Amino acid sequence: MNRRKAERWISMDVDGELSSRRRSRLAGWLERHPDMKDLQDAWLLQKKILHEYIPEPVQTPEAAWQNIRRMIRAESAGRDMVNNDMSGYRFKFASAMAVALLMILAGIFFLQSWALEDLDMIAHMDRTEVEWVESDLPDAMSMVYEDADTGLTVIWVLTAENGKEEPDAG
Amino acid sequence: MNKEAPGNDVGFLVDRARNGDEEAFGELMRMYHQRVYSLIFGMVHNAEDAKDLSQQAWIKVWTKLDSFKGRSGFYTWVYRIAVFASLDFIRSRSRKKETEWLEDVEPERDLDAHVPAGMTDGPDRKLHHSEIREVFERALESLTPEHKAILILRDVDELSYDEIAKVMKCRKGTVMSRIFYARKNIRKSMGELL
Repeated sequence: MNRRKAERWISMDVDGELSSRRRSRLAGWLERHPDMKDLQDAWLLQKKILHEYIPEPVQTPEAAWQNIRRMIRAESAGRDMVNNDMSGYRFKFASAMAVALLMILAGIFFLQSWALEDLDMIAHMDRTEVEWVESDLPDAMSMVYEDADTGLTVIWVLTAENGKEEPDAG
Repeated sequence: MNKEAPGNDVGFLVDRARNGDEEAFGELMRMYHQRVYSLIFGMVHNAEDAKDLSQQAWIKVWTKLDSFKGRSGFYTWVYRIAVFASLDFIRSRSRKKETEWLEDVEPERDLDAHVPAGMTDGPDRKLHHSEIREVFERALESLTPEHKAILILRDVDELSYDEIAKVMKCRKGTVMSRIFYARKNIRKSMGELL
């Protein structure tokens, strides 16, 4: 066994991780290499120093637990508050979205109505109400309507003389 | 050292804690409080920081209990949280270039029991005591946080290589190697004192 391998085995032996077969091999090797025995002693001492170097906690477990419990509760309360805030925020957001949606729908409805009304106006703009009336004149057709330009009511009688021949006259 | 209380007890307490039972969680916390604190102290070398980090680690344990699946031991899981909280702290402290040393807050401890007999005798005894303490502390501080964590898990908590590998999320070979080099570096730093 070379020294490097022996060092690794010594470290494992200090940790109790060396198999019994290897441990006895190492023990035999260390007897022939006493300088390496010093290394083993040094690492065992180092382990004890480290163990003792670590102090007792500054708080008793009970005092530490009381602190931690307070912090856990505060943390839970904070989380609840955030959740509540979030749910409040969500409610406000949903309300705003609903209002916005309603406004959009109302707008669409208004625009649609306005457009229809406009179309209706266009459709009616130049139309003259015409009323057909009975006449005693033979072969005559009468109509009554309000003239858009003058506002006068016009009674128009279409007779054989002035009406039916008109196309021919034209 | 008994690392884990009887499995059923711990499992039962973990189940209760997972259902929001604070008292059960308190029991768990009391069981592992000292070990978690020791581990963190060994890494950060400051009693106040160790106390704060320990509290933070336990709060994280509480909030993450749902994610504990029980595939590893509870203590392994808790140690992992504590180790990574400490590593994060050390990295952020390094970034801030803050240096905090133990002597300001740490009470004196008797290390003489572990000092070779020859060293404790004679007029230089006090000198040796504080010298060993200071040099050891600096030697420990000189290790990388990962090496330090693994050495503490081994030498203080007495976890096996397999357990350390689970805590640190690394291979067993890495654990062996890091412990070996950490020990070599400490011995080198301590020179004649060790």
